[in-house]
Amino acid sequence: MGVKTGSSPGTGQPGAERPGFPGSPGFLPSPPPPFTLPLPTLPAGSIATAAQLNELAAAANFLLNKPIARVHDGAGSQSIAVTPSNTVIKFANRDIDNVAPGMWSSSATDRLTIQTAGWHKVRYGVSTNATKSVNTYVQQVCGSNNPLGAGSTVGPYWPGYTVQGYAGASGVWPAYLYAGDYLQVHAFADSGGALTEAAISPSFFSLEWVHI
Amino acid sequence: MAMLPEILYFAQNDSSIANLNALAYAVQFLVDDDVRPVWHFYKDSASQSLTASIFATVTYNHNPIDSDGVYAATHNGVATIQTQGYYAVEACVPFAPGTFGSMAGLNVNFLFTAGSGNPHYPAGVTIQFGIRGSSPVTDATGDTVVCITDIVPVCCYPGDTIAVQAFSGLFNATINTNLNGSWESQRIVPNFTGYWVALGT
Repeated sequence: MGVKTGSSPGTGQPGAERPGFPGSPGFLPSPPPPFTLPLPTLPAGSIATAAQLNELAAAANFLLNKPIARVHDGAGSQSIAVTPSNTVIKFANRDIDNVAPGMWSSSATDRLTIQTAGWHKVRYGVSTNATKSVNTYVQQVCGSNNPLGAGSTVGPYWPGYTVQGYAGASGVWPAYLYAGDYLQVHAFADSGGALTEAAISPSFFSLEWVHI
Repeated sequence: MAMLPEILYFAQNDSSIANLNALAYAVQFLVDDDVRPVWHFYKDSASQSLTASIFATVTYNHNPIDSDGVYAATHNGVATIQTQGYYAVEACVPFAPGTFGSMAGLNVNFLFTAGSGNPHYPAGVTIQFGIRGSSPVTDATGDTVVCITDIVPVCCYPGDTIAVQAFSGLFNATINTNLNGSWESQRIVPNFTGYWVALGT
């Protein structure tokens, strides 16, 4: 197998025609190459070189240490706006963040920023201190590597709703994420009045890299 | 306990079988759920009653998938970690129909408890995480199901435990099981799944 480019047509991956996401064109010409894991081609009769074996080792090592990040808000007290407004949730505490320079940053706690392109699984929850209706969702903001253009948005996806004050959802983010793209958790209250985020059983947000 | 893979890099003209086997084991660990720690518990025994306003550990009486031996029949509400690493967890809890109203306070969350082998937390320290609340049905005939998922917020070490907790704020609720009852109720079993995600310290 040669170098995997992840550009199979018709799969929704870069280089394929795919349906338009909100605010995006329906066809994406010549996107930049996504993240790759070089894998060697070993013809019959050849002797594997150290470089080729190390490519295999590096691929396994990447998967054993695949990018994950998990953050939470231990302070609480953020006010969650009433519809039609919404609040972007901030997460002040980094629990896990194993890829440099980090998906989370203390200077921008309201997002997780992709460092390694690929498909990612999203998990999140928003906790409030009142037994009321909470609506939540996740939205993507594109960076300069994304062919949709910096500042373009994708989503919202993965909505959550509860009447018990704790809302959330999870799933694989339905768009390929490029390095520099970031995801944010939004929340809003129903017409019954603004809510306050809870410090106990805190709001959380995580990303798990799942596939090239 | 699964042996954690150790990636060894190859020097020029390196023909070490040990290095090749280490690489082969790493791949096996990544792709073989009989090697990588994975579990799935479920309950099909009698329903479980909850006392109002008390977090209760959800118990399970089956472990059809348990590659690392995290389940114990005598400790059937928790997964006891055997292999160090970061883990992802998922669970669903069906609550039996009742006089829920709209504000009954049905919540489900995970609970991490540090064991004696955890170098970062004293044994017994707990972390509640992954909480989610319900949107109860009001027809009094259908189950209310709450499903949750999260990444355990700390690296897990052998002896740490992870449990699923259920909470009812206003009345003594009941966790339902699949008893082949009506189509709206007793068709879902409480379940708890976890899997190793990545190396960690």
